Amino acid sequence: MSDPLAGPAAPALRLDEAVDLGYAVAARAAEDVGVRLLAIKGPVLAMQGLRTPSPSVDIDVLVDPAGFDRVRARLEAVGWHDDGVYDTPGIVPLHSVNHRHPSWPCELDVHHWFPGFLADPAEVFAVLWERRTTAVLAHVELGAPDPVAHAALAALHYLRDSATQWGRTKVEDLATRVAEWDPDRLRDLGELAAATGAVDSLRPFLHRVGAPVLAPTRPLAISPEDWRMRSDAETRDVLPWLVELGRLPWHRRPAFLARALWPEDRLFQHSQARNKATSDSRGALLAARWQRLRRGVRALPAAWRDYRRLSAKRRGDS
Amino acid sequence: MSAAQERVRQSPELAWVESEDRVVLVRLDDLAAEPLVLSGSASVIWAALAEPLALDELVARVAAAYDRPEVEVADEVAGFVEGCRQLGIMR
Repeated sequence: MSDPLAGPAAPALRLDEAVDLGYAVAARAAEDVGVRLLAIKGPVLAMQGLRTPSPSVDIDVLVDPAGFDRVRARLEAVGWHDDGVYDTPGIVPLHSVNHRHPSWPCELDVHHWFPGFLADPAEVFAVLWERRTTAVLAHVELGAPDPVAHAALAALHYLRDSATQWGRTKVEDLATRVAEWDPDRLRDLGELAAATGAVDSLRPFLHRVGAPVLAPTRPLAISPEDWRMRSDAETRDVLPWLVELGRLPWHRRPAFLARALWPEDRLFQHSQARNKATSDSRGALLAARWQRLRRGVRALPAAWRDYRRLSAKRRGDS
Repeated sequence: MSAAQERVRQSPELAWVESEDRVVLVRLDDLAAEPLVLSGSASVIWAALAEPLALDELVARVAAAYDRPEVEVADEVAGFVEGCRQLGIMR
């Protein structure tokens, strides 16, 4: 026998190890502050047979919206810091934050609602919690959405990018699995959609798998138009800025444009940290700014066409 | 009950994953603590503790795994267990 106990070795933590362990860490952090948490996506989805097992690159959890800030504070206290920049626009409202730990190779995404479930987030969480199941990761039992709710959540995740090949491929793979469910389970899926404000957002998926499309049983609390625009969008890089610009009153547009063209340094510092860049010198920041501007100029024509198309569609829908 | 008969067990306050070459543990009762990596004979001892064992039973299993006399590994196993207890990963 050689020296049997290797000491603390977090720098060598591998991604597959870190993801499973990280789910357990997140669950305990939430438990420590008395907040309900569900482990979503990634390995749990694979364990439930809703996707092919494949390596996950981050940890995703959904928490009771009322306890969101408490979970974030607890994570901060144990070294998982949120240094994200959230003042760049999104077509749908902000739904999650990213916590990172310097010794861990993955991010921890804490969601306080999930786009596509458009009823009140607290009520949606209550529905998902009520029907939760458990999953064991890293020898720890975690709360997780039951397979029906998890299929709905995953479908929404993919449908959000349904204009992309990635989104279409993923949603079709999921649909193939769900279409084999028995009628009672498919009915349950339809009822879940009705109870969470997801009838419209899940409609293509419900049709595809043969689940009933039922009348909503809860009012919507989040704009369905934002969801439609997001799921129909064919471009990503510049479109959210155009959408936000269109939403703003005229007097706020100059400042917004200035920020779009010349954001704060911390946006680039955050990107560099995420990409493990070694230099954060002024020169590197300036280079990152110019790269971003060049990308933006190149992406602008396609984004503008996309914006015009989506706006026309929105007017046609209303 | 002698020290050798006292049961050694994994702490229930842990998350851990195992692979072919090592076991990685995180203390859930101290989330700020760095993960711990057990490799080589340490991971063999950890696997043996899937169920609580008396120290002399643990020594016997480790000795068998390495095809060595129990007397030769007893001190090392006892020292390892003591170290793990101090780290909060065994009880």
